[in-house]
Amino acid sequence: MSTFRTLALKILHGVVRLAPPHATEWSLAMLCEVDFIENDWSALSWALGSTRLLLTRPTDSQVANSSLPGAIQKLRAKVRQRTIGGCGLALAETLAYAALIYGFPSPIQRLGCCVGIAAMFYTGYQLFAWRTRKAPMAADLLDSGDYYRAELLRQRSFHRGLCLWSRLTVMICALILFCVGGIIAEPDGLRAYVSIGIGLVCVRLVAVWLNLRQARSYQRDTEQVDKFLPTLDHQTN
Amino acid sequence: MSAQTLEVLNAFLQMPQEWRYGYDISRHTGLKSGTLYPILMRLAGHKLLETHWESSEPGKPPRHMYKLTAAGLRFARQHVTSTSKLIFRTKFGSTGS
Repeated sequence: MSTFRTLALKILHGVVRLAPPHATEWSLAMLCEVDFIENDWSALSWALGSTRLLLTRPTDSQVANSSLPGAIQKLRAKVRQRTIGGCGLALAETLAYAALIYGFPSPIQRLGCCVGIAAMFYTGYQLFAWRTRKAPMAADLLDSGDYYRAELLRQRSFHRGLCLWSRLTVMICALILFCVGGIIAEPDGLRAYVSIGIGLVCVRLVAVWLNLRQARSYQRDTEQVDKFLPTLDHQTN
Repeated sequence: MSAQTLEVLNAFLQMPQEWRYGYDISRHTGLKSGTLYPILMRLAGHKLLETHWESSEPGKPPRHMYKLTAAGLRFARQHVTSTSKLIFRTKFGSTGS
């Protein structure tokens, strides 16, 4: 076997190994085809062309067929990570509010802390509420599509609409009670409490922006799945 | 749609009922493999091209074969014809009037 052909085969085997899921079959097709090319130089040229497959992007239906189980796994990992992060933050804020209950003498401030703790519990509830059933088997594309869509919708709801604004309202109420209570109890600390209040409102505004951005991202993914589902439905029937 | 895609569709239209293989299309159209296969992948992704593996002579690997689907044939006829008309008009339109 000539050097050119050996090199061609090495390139093609490498492409088969590295090809993204939607291009695997095509890279194999190119590898098999090289055996039918008699000229060694042409075989090398053929093999070099195969590297283009590594840069191709899948069409919508190819994504639906090859990447849906992967997308589900990715989404589940992301949701798990965010749930753990969200619970961690909620727990930290709960502990901070709990510590403040004993640190401040003003009953209004204590009430604010209690409302803050309630807000954190409410956030925790929202993180776990309406969780979808267990992920289906990867082989069942239609079921996977439905599961993926339901999970995307749940995530989208968490990051916008009633869920977002209700938990934000409770958090802001806690903040107002805490600051107003502080100002009443210590009129000299007016400037400090106003600064704390403004700082925390800014943090909440950033959180709202991030939540709405996240919701838009889930909305885009949902629309993408909606495009796949009729195709999947057609394939399964 | 690119001129290369039209070339490929045109190649399929020459023998619409026959299964073709990649190297054959490449020789027929003069397209390099790096141009041809992404086009074939897109056509197959849009359900315009059907594929199957065919076992060949002993000692040789199977071959990946391609044929336009019914939708692919309609699509190819429509686009290849309209593009040919456009080329004809661009070349001869002014002298014809």
